[in-house]
Amino acid sequence: MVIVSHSKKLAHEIIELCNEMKKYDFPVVNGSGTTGDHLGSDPMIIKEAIENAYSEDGVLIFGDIGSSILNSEMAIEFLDEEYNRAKIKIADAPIVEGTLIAMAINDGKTSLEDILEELKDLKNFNKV
Amino acid sequence: MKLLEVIEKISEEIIKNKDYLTELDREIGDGDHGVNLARGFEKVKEELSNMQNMKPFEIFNKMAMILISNVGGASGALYGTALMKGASYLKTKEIITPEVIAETWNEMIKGIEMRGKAVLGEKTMLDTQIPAYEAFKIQADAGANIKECFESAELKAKSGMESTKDIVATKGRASYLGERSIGHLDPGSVSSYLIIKTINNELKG
Repeated sequence: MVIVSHSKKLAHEIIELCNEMKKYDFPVVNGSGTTGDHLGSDPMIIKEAIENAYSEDGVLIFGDIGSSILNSEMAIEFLDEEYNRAKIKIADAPIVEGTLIAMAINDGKTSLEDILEELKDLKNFNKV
Repeated sequence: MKLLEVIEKISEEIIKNKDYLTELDREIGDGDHGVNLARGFEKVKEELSNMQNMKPFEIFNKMAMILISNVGGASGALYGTALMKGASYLKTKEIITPEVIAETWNEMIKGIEMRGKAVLGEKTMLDTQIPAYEAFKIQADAGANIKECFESAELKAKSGMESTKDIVATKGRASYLGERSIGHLDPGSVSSYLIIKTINNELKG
């Protein structure tokens, strides 16, 4: 999994929080922030994060708002051919809840498609 | 027209308007459009001396990469994608005519639409660029020269930019404000206008 926030610190904390739910050891990479110390996202940083997280099972990307998603899409396009782009998906889900659920249900037997399917339920998720 | 000189002027114009663009973005967005774009164009300016012997499509690609990795916001991805799309068309052309510029611009707009999943009338930079491109194309098809084409383009770019005041934002951060975004210019439409205006000014000499 790759977490893309405008804030590198925020993504770090999300990963920390969601690690509690993690079922087995798979890479969750922080692909957030920019080369400077300002808020934002950078396709080249995201691309590197995807490469580090990549396996045959695929990569699931969670982004926060706006350019995190645009830049993630661009990062996927920049990947070399050795990476199977069809196996790299951007989750259409809130970054915190989405990451939490994906971490919780990814037990090593669940496929990328299964997780995406589960995440759809978040659209109608009631908190109160 | 010397492409690098025009790019230098565009960079200066964006840098000069950093605070204005940021102020516009603070009203309806996250207040970083000016700062972000200015940072990208500062870098473009620095790199101009390395672009002296490049072909136009190579310059477009180089600028795209600089903006993509230095801007940090959606505008870097959008302008970067536009430049890359423009470059892949320009690569096939040896001579730059008004028709070639029109088609390059058309490709750039398609890139922005694709990346931003936006169309005309959604309070984005497309509201400046599409009418401007269409005016340019009409002139180009009628046999006008580059200068005349950009003169028409600037007029439409300006009215396009102004039209964003009356539109409810549905794209980008401004969409969180919904109806509250009415009455404010879209910062991306303004930066696009500044770019077109600068090109026109340079051609007028």
